[in-house]
Amino acid sequence: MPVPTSQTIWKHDSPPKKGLFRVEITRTTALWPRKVYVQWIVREPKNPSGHLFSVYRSGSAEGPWEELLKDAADTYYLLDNNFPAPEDRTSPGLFSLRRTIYYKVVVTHTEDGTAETIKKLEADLPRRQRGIVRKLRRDAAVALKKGSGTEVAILKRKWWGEPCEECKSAVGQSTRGHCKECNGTGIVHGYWDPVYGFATRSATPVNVATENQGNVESHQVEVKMLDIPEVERYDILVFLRDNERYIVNQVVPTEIHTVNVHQELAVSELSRSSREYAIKVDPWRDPEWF
Amino acid sequence: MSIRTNQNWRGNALPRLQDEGPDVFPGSPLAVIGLWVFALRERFKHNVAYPLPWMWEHELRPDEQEDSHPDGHPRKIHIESAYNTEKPVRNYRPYIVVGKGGGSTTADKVSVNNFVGRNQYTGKKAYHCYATMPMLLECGAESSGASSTIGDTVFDFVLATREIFRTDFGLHEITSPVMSDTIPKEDDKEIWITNVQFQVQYDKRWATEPIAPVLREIGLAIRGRQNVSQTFVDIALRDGDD
Repeated sequence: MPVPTSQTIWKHDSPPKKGLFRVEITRTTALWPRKVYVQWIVREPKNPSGHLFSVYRSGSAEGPWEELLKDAADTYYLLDNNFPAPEDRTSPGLFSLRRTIYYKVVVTHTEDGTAETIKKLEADLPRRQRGIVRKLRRDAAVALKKGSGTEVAILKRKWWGEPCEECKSAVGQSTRGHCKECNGTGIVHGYWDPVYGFATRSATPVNVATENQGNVESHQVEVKMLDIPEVERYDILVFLRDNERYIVNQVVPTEIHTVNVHQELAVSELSRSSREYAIKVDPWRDPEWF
Repeated sequence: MSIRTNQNWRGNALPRLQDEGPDVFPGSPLAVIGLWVFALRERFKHNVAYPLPWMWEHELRPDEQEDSHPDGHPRKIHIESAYNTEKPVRNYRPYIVVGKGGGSTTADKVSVNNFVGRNQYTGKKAYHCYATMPMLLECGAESSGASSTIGDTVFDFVLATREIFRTDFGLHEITSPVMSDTIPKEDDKEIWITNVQFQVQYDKRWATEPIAPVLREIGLAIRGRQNVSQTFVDIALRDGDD
C-alpha cells in the first residue's frame, strides 16, 4: 500500500522536501478534444531504474480512481486517449468547457520505496511563476482558514460512470429525481467522494416569489473558495457547520498566467426537500492543511 | 372513485365536494380545480396492486428509508391547487399543481342571447350557457425524466377518466388532454416541468326577475296583514306563508 505524500491535491504544491523520494507530475496538457498528455518525474531516487509506475484518473481529487496504467517499468509519460464520450456516459469526454480531470501517479521501487502525487488537468508554469501561484494560493488558504472561511465539503457531480440500474431510461435520463442509487443523476451515486476545504459566503436576502406552486423561495449567494477542487455548474457545496447545501450556478476563476488561484462562485441554496441533502458527508471533518 | 360529494345538492346539476368552503359554489372554477386535486391525490395514493415511484400522503415529510422504489419507500408527491400560498411547504419536488391555465374562462352561447324561457306571470327569464374553463396540471420534478414520467401518468389518467368525470360530476364536456414538452426552469435549482392541459365545459344557469312584479307582490302581502313588521321579517327570511 503506497504511502501518499499528500492527503489532498494542494499539498502537492508545497515545496518538495530535500532527500525525500517522491514523484512529481510535471505536465498535464490537453489535446482537445481527444487526448491528454501526462508526464512525471521521480525526485531523489537512490536507483536510476527499476521504478514501476501506476497512473489513475478521477473526477475528484479524493477519488474513486480509475486505473489507466499498472506497474509500467521506467515509463515517464502517458498519452491518455480514453475519452470516447459514449452516449451511455460510461466514459468521460473532453467536450465541456470546464471539465476537471485529476491524475494520480504512484511509483514503487523495491529499494526506494513508494510515493504518489495528484495533479489536475491544467496549464504548467515556469518555476518562478509556480512559486507566485503557490504564494497566492497559500495566502488565500490562510485567509479562509484563519479568517472568514468555514469548513465545507465539495461534492463534484459525476458526468460519467456506471449507469444507474434502478431508474435510468434507455436514453440516459433518470426517471426518479430522488433515486437513492444515483441521486437523480443517472450515474451510480451521482457524486464523487467529497473534498473538504474552506470557503466563505456572502449575506444576501432570501427571495420569495409566488408561482404556480405557491410561495417559492430562492437564495443566491456568492462564495469564495480555493481553486481546489475546481468546481463546475451543478456541483454541490456543503457548509459543514450548518449543513446548508448550495448548488453551483456560475464559476469565476481568478487566474494568474492561466493557472487558477481561487474561485468565486454564484451558488443557490438548495431547497430542503432536495435529494442532495441525502448525500452523506462527514460533518466533523477537519480539512487538511498545507 | 371515492371523492366524497354532497349527493343531495339540487341547486345546480353539479355536485358539491364534501367539506367544501361555503364561499365556493359548485361549478365555479375553484370547485372544478378541487375536483382534480382530490382525484389526483386518489390516483397517487399508495396502492399495493399498482405501485408507483411516487406516493401522495397528507404528510410530506420524507420517509427515513425513502428510496423512490415503488415496492419500497416511494418518494412522496405534493399535489395542490395552484397559487395556494397558505401552505407551509416550499419548493417541494416532485409536485403536481392544478390550476386554471393556458387561457381564460369563457361563457359560450348555445342560444340567442342565452335565453331559454320566460314565466309570463312573474316576468322571470331563464338563461343558460356553457362555461369553458382551461385546466393546467403542472408536473414538476428534479429531473427531466421524472417530470416526463409523472406527466405521462397524469396525461393518461385524465384521458382515461374523462368520461367517468363527465357523467359522475355533471360536467358537459372534458376535452382530450394535451401534454407539453418537458422544459427546465430555475427556482433554487433547475426544475423540469411538463404541463398537461385540457378544457372543462359545464352548465351555467341563471334567471332574472323584474323588480315591479316583486314589489307588487310585497304590497299585496302587507295590505292583508295586521303585523306589518312581522311580514317584512317573514319576507326577508323566506319562512312565511307568502
